[in-house]
Amino acid sequence: MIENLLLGLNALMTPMALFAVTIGVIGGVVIGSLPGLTSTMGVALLVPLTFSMPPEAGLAMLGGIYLASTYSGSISAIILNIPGTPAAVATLLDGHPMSQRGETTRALALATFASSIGGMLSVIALLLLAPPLAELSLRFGSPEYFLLAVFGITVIASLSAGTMSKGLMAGAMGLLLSTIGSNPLTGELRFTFGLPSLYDGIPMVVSLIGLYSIPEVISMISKKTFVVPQADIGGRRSAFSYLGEVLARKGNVLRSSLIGIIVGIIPGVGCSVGGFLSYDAAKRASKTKEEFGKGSPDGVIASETANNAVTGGTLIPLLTLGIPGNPVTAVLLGGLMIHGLRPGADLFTTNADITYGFILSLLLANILFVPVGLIFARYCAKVIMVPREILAPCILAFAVIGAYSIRSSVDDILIMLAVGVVGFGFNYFAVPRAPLVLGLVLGTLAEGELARSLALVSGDVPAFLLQLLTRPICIILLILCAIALFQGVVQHRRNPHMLDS
Amino acid sequence: MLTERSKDILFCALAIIATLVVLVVSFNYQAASAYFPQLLAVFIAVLAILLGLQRLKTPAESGANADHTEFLGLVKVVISILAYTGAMLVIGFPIATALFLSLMMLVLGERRPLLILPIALGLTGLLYSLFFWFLGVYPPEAMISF
Repeated sequence: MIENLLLGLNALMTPMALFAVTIGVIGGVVIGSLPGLTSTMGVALLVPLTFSMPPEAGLAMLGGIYLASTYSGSISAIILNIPGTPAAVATLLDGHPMSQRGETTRALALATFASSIGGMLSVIALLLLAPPLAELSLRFGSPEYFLLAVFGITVIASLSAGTMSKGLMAGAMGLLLSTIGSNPLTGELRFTFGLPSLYDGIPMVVSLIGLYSIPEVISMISKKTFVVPQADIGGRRSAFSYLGEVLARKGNVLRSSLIGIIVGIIPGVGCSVGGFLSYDAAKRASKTKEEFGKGSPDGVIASETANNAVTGGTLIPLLTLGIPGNPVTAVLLGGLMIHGLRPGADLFTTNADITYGFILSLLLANILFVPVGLIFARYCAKVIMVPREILAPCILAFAVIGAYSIRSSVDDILIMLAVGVVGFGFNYFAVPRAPLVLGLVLGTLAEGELARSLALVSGDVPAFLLQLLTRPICIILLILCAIALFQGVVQHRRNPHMLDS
Repeated sequence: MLTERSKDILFCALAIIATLVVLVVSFNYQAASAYFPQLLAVFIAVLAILLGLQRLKTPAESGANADHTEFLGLVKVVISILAYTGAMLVIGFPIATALFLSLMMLVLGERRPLLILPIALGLTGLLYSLFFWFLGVYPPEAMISF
């Protein structure tokens, strides 16, 4: 292991590799902070650029974009209440309220350091525990996936501040929206009303842009949002001084990293689910639960630590088994193969220098995006000072072109607008939007895995239920679901007046 | 305009209507495709009925002051996005974006041309370079090309 690490370090410490990881991090920070630009887009765009590079440099650049863009979605989430990437949705629950009370720099700094620490811990897990964690990921079958989706949905009870029934309705509406398009098993088209642009369902990024940016702009235009004097922008306290605050919350950071790593090793689940689960766990463990949703630093730290920890987790099944867990790692797999690297045991033996060089470059990227992100965020934070008459049209223009760019389709602009109107309606009726997002993310997984699980037992429901009660991971997930639901109900009975987000 | 109680009741009514639409449409699908949305629709309807009944039992609140600004804002945003999209398809992305930004800023109350023009042109250039040049996204086809 030490020998391989030294080989990797040797491969990384070349001007080309260091330059590549720096460019990747800078590009990732910019891409992730802009709603409408995704990590997948950034990685896919730069794969051809890596053809002419040595493999360690090319992979370092791609890894840098992946990590940095996952983190930087929090920048627009905190400043504008518009998540830059799906991973940052849980961050805005507390990040934006912190910004609204004048603590933008603090929120951005906490998010940056939390992301960095979560990312580094997950890379260490990748280095030390890749084979056993990959074994764990293979134990997840359709019943486990289904219960994982159910567990994610029970988190909705905890996320639904205010009236729990509204939150559950929002979550169920998100699940319902996820049924638009073709059925994952039968392929039958549902609720498309003859529109080809809906055959693949509602694109996640388009719906996020609509759900968050349209209501924010409406709020700005109707002068419902107010610029709060920022106590800490350009103030004496440096952003680096907030590192101590993150380190003081060791329990939260470690728990969130663990959740992120475990979520990451399960293919198909994603950073946003990791963020939500970790946020929920932090809220349950907190002695000041009522602060969540109003600007609790623990909420920001939990979601950001977890979503970056997911990135390292996703690389475990990718590098050991060749199983990409999300679209970004699917593109990374392509990148690996382009450079003649096949996932599996050989990657860690025959190509140890490149593999360990890549893993060490991820550690470096997790450190590099701290200064890059803080400097970038410092300038982004000044966006708050821009008059709303100028900011609102700029956000709309970004939203329109961002929605268009996902599939180069004008129909996506209309879908974004329609979801935006729904988001406005949710705001008007004080219905939280986060459960809708979670339902949208988990819907396809829940329905698909339920159908597959039933198909495995030829539709025999008692046999399916028996599976849920006898498989070890299913039992653990069932217990977690029961605890989550029970705590959600108790929490709402104690605190019926929590704020919505 | 509406009290919190009235808003909740209205929301429940809209949710029930939406679920009825979903149920009616879903009966056209195969059973394997229909069961999940039907299950969700029933779940939403039950929650909506329970919440609606709960809110109906609470005493009516005193009327809130009428506030149409949010709805005016919604109308402005919807019309502006539709107009912007239409303009993109007619005159192309760069001109449509510059016009959209300039007109929106004017409508919202910004009156300094020395600020409006550079911002409109600058942001148009930035969006064009970032999405169509750097990321290689194919721009929307315009009826009139310049």
